[in-house]
Amino acid sequence: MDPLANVCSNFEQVGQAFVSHYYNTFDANRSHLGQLYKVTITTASLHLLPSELAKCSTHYLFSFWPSQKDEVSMLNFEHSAERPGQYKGVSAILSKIQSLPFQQVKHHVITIDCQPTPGGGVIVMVCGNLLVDAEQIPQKFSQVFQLLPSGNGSFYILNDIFRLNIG
Amino acid sequence: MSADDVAKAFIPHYYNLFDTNRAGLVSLFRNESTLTFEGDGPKTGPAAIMEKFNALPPVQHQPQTIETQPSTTPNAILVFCTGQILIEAGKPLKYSEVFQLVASAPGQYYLHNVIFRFNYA
Repeated sequence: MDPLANVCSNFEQVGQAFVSHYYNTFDANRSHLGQLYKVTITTASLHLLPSELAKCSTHYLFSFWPSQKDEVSMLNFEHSAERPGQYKGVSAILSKIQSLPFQQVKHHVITIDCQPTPGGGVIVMVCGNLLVDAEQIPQKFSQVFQLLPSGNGSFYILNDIFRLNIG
Repeated sequence: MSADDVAKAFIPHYYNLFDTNRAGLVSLFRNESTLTFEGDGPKTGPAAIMEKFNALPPVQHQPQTIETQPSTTPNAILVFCTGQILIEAGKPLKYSEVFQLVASAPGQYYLHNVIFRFNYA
């Protein structure tokens, strides 16, 4: 495959819109992370300004994890050899996210970096802070996503790696 | 070799070159490689990437975590690394870095994607 073929030319917009959508959903009700929205995001609609996209975010679809490829998506959550944290497939991933030991969380994104990947995908690295429940001191985190096109104009998460930056 | 084994060999090799023989990094990049360094980029291709690297001061990387996931094709690996970096023998700064390794031939990997960010306190 020609590595320059099928590059997502809107990778910056896709990544920015996705990050906003993912953390808003996570913070509002993380059990909704696996759900689909009603309207499919199309390449044409991505020509909106990021501020416009943010306002319209509820009208766009990110099928976060593909229904036909239940076994494909992967999450690493604070994974190490000593304390493994690897989850594969929608059910396992959602189960982990829902079982996290807090009620409320607020993610504050500080940086978003996007790059295109072969096959029309987008890699996104996010750095930021998060506050859970009544805690006063935010915890720094980094998170990596690889998004892939679903083939109908929407994107799904193939790879998700989350890590707190402690110390 | 598993993806973890590949990454745990490749990443220290990458940082060793970066820290002691930066010019040697050029062989790890191809025309389609992209680098984003502290928000500057993406820069594409060995020339643009090496130009960015050569403008940086001497550094020493101390990776602390290296984890992998399979990427989109069997010959691609997504790697996420965190650690500390010393700049010109100053105070260590924490960083996060993402790599996508792609095999151009069995056992021979190049870097298709690199994203670097400091994690400021």
